[in-house]
Amino acid sequence: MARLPALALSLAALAYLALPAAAQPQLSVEMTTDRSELAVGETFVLQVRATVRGGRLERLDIPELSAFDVISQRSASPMQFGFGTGGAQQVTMSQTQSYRLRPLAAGTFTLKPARAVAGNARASSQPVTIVVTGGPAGASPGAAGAAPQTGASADVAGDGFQMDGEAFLRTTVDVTEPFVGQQVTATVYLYTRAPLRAAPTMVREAGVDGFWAQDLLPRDRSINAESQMVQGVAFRVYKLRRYALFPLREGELSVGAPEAVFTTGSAFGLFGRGGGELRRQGVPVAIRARPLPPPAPASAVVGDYRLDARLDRTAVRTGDAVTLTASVQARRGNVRDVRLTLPPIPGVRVLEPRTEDEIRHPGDVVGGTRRVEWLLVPEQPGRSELPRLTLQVFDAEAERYGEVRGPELALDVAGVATAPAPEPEPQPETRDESPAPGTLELGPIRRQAALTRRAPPFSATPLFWALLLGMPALFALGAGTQALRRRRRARGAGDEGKRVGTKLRRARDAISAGDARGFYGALAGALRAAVERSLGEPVGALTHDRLRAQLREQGMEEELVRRIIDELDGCDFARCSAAGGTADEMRQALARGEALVSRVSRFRRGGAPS
Amino acid sequence: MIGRPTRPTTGARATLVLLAAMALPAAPRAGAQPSLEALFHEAAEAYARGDHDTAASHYERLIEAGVSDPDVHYDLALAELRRDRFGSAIRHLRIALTLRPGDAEAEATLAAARTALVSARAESEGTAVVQEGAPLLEVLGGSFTEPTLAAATLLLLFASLLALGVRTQLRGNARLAAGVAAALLFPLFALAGAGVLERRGVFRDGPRAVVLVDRVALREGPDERAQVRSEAREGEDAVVLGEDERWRRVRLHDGRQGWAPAEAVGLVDGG
Repeated sequence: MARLPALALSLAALAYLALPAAAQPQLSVEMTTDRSELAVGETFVLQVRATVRGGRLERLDIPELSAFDVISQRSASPMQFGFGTGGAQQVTMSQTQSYRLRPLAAGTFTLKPARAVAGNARASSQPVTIVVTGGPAGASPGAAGAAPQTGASADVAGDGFQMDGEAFLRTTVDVTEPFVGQQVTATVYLYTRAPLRAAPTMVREAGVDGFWAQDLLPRDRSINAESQMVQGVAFRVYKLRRYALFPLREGELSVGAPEAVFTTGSAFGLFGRGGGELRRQGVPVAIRARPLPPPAPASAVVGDYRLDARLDRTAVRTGDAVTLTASVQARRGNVRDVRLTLPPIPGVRVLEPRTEDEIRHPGDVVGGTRRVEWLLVPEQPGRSELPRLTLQVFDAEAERYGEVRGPELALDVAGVATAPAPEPEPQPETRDESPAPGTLELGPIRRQAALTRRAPPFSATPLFWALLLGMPALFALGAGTQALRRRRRARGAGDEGKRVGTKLRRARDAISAGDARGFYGALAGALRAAVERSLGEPVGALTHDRLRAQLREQGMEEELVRRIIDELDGCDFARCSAAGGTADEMRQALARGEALVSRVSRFRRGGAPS
Repeated sequence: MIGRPTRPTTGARATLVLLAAMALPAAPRAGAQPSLEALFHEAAEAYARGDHDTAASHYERLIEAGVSDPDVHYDLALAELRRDRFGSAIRHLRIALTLRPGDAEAEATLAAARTALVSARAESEGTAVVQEGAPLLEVLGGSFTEPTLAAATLLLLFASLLALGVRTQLRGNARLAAGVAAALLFPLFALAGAGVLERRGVFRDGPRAVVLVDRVALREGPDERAQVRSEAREGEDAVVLGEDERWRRVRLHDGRQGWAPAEAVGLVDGG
């Protein structure tokens, strides 16, 4: 029990020693300026300092500085070490951000508080207010006096530079208050006392936000210097950049300050004065873009334009596409700003146009051609008058509007309608029963499928073709065999016919010879031969009753059967009779026999006698 | 009565070992690659949860794997309709109807898809004209599948020849009846044969296709720079007359022809 107070004391001591480490860092932020009131073009220094003790600075957020041009920036992060209570090491860390700023326009600007984060601690500074009064752009105290004169000074309306005895950048514009869409030519010059040793490097191009810009200088060019006196000092002047700028919106715009790095002086430093690598930043130039004077037509463009249009064919059939090409030529103006619209043409479907631009800038005046191609698909026959294309143009110098019109064009369409003619306005009582998009009613998906694999169609298999061709072939084979057999039978029937004729001839001979026995035998033989030819089978061995039955089976008429059997019976009787017969009786029997042979010959097995 | 288990013979043991050895390398593949049934099931599940992109992707994988099932094409068409891809939906519904002609549900969905396409187009453009109805030759085969028509062709041919052959052996009325039967069966055979030929595409100049994208330019040649002749719209029926790498020469239902990118024209036959 005596140990408990000692243990509690030890724990308390440990907690005390650990306290500084677990404590929240002490963080503070302050934001200051060296000036709170200045004129446009002047600069001031903004300093933000964050200090943290017992922790590590994680983040320092600087307020928005878009209203200012940042001329330079500097950052420093010193540290201090100390020993706090209990021997724990205390670290004080600070970070300082310094900005040299130049306001872009007059006004009162309040910078929001800077914020810092260190561990769980957060701190903010006080906001800072800067009052900027109006003043000449670029007229810095150091540059007070006459502006430098350049070869293009006659066109200089706006000028931005900060005089430096060794080197400086200068930006000029030919118009400071252009209309929206009007060309402004901006030029960036480099002034140096010593000659350039190499082509300068543009660390930052002049800002052209709010403009459509066209570079006017060729990419591959040599930089030549002009000599010029500025405030009594001789400078070499190099033209670094030249832009055609077209304001895209009205209001206050600015050609931002460029920044360049360059090396001056001779290679050996013997003949030139000064030299070495230099870095200079220019001064922004303010531009106020004016709106087009009212009443401004829609899609009006600024400049000098011509408009032409043509069809690649004037007579087509329905469904054939023709191309309508509109060509807008600008002697002066930004053709990319041109918006040509083709009104709807009844009976003609107009597809999305294709646009091609060709920009030219002779004499630093931007112009060019915009070519717009529409594909027209006539759907109704007849003559279609195409609406004339028009372009509203504003002359910035005369400050007046004009209209440029294309030629009248017509299209003759032959053929039949490929789409229904436009219907008249719907009657109030008509009701569209088609479902609205998005209200498509679909059935459920199928959750059972045989998942059959792709296979060649049955009609493409050899089995199908074998059966398809084999069956007629087999049929033809069978039919051919049957025909052959029939022919053979017919040939046999011919022999039988000859036999019938022979026997009838013998019968006639027997009449002449008075041979009654021979006559009736020959007549009976002729009848049996005729029956055999018709039936296709021998009947000589059959009794008369059996023959009768056979003939009936084969479909022979009963009357003919009876007569054949009667005649055969008569022949048998007469042949066996001792009296024989007279010649007349034999002739009559021959006539009956020939008639029967004729009828039997016409009889076909299985059918009626023909 | 339960019999005693018999010990496998040496030959049976060798067979078992051989089968096991064959099955071993196949086992990991089967595990890595879902079966067609599993893929189909997953597609249906994705569709049910409203994940139509996944469902369509799974159905497309099935088709890429060689499945040519009308139900799969039907389900894919529904997923495509849910994604507002009307051209693709029409294409798969037409494939489904080719594989199973007379599928009333597929026909109704095809009509609904065309109606939805008209509505969507009219909504955005004011007016819309969409081709409807099948060409006459497609109607020829009716609702019979190609195997059915092929089998019918053979049966009708057999019956016709049989009637013709029997006729020569018969007499009287039976002979007449056989002749009449042959006279009736031969035209039916010819009709069924024509149906088979239509299914095989003999009467067409090429495989059938459907335009898949909203607008596609029909050009003079297989090149982006070629002169545009005309324009095809989504869902339009076409016949592929020729191919050149990534281009297809198509003729639309109204006779317009031109070259279009292959991905803009989906095949119905052999697709």
